[in-house]
Amino acid sequence: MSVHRQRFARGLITRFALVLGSLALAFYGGAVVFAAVVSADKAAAAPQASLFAPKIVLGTIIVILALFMLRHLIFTLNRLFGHQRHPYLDVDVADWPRLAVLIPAHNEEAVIANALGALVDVDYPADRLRIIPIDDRSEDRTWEIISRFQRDFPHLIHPLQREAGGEGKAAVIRFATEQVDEDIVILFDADYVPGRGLLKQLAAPFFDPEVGAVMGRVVPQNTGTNLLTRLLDLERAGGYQVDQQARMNLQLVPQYGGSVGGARVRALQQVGGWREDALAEDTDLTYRLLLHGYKTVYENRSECYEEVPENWQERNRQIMRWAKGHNQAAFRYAWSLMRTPHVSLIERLDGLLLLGVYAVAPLLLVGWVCALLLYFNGEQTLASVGVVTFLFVSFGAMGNFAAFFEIAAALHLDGSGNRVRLLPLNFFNFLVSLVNITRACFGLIFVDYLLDRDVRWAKTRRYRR
Amino acid sequence: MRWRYRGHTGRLIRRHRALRSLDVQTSSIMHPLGLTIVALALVLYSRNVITQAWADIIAFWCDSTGIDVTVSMRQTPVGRIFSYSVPELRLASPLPGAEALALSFAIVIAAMLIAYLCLRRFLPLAYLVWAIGVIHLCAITLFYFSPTAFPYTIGGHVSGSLEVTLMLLMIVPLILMVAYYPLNFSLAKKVALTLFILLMVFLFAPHLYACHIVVMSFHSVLYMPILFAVFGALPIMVMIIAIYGWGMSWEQQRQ
Repeated sequence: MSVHRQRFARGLITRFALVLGSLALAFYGGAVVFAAVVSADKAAAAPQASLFAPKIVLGTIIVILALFMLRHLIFTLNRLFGHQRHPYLDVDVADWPRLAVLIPAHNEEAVIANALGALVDVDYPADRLRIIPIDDRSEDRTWEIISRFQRDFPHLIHPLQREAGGEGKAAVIRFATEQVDEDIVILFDADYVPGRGLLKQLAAPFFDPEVGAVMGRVVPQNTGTNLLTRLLDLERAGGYQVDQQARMNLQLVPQYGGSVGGARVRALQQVGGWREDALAEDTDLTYRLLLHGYKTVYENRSECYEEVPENWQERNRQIMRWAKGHNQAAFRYAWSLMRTPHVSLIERLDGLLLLGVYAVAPLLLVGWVCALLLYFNGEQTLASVGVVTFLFVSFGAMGNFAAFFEIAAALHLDGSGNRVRLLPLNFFNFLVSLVNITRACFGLIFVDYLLDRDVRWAKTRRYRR
Repeated sequence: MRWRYRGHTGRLIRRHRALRSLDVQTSSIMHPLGLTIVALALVLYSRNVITQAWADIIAFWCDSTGIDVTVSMRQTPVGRIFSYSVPELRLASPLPGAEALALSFAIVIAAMLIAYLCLRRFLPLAYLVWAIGVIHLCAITLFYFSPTAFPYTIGGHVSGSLEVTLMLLMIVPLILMVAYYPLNFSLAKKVALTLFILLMVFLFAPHLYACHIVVMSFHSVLYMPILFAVFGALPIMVMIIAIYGWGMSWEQQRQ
């Protein structure tokens, strides 16, 4: 097929997706209205207590879910068939900028040696690179391991030790960023193992003055441990391979994810640096940069390996922290985003939907309650519409709201064959995320905000032996 | 295979997964359109045959388990030109007695406690038990205070659920239109997956709802809310997603 015909076909597919999505939205809306009319007839025939409010709430939630599903359908089709943007991938020989690689570490003896070992082996000019592990009050052998690396690679490793100050990653990286004089800071968590070419890939986008932050792809390395790690692998695949890359393709709002990424120091200073009170300093930075006219770039080719939680309790803590941090950012920046002149309308819309992903969980639970309320009051048709709609979304991922077809498309592109057969079991991951994100949302509003409590950082446990 | 894509051993050098996307081919557009129309037409054309078969299957199982039921077909018009039939069942809908309510209450509380105390390692299972428990406690409360206020009969529940399943059968081709047909699988695989999903839903649903009838006929309609919310559309959706996941793991056509 010629390039011209390919381009024409791609345009056709995009339009097809839009028409289809609109039809799906209309279908859902129609179904809700139809069910409401039918139940109104029944109510007229046999008067009963008014169910107007739950019907409206349920209908609204269904429409919001349909909107999110449409967004992710467009992302999926774009990632599968659209024009893929990798604008900085060809930058291979350049006058590379000076980099400071920050690795915050608190009790990371199990993993820090792997990260440092990989970083001292990267393909980046040594005179332009400073690796800065930051030991934040570790009580294990973390500092000892870091010191050993410093002895072996004194020209590369320049560690910092932090004895006082606020808790959490944001506080640590703020402390370290204030002490660097490099142009760019690149961040890795202590459990991440970068490949040799990763730093050049992450540094290349910063030749573009519009770029404020860059983000690479995170790939779980302990996938085969148990069902949870396998399910989290599906979630990560959907989130990065499709969701982030599609947002990059469509010039929307790719998200800086806090690790395997970096920021331009000048841009950071301009937006006020890292916020110590942010639980999700990554989302926080993404939006502050966006509001100041900087772009965040996603680099799908820049892969780095991480550990995902291996038990449900750890997973709960992680997703609750993400949810609280993300919703914090939503409260802070949603209104400013709607009014900013720096951002296009489509970016604004996507940015708002992205800010809202962690608000969907409590909405869904409210939807379930409404569906049950209607069911117990004889509205089986309307309750069924709600239940079937909720079931459609319940095989996807909750945090990034990747729908089941989005995860399947990601695994299809990854060429990872049989892993996609776990898709029906993702219902369990969804269920746990749904409950805990809702807990985090209510905790943020009713405990932290109303009681004016500081949100607390929870460190993720490491499993490597 | 072009020479430029061959590696040292003559096999294909695959593009890195980060850069991979699918080529838009004629089939990427024609398959979704054609297969969706054909599959939808198939379901729509055979809708009355499907529901009649469901009625026969349910009647067979009721007969085999000694449940006295009368099954007829009810025509439901949609607009002026389209209609579909749904099995209408007439059978007794026993209400729960005080003993059954007390026993059920005790079992639910015990299950929720066990889930809370013992299922920490299997948290999703614990949450599922808790969700089932909460819904069932609502049902117990309703039947305890006002048993006659429960608005459903077993027949109505099964008819409504089969109606929803018929809608699901019509939605399946639409899901596949965006989630499977555009991908680089052969036409035979796309047809096979469609037929397999439709066939499995067609066979599974009446057996599932026959189980509902058996449970409720022997243990009262107290269990209807939980059967509706957790053991109705959910297992059917799990099956659809599972088969879809299996289909996605089939070998792709090389582009």
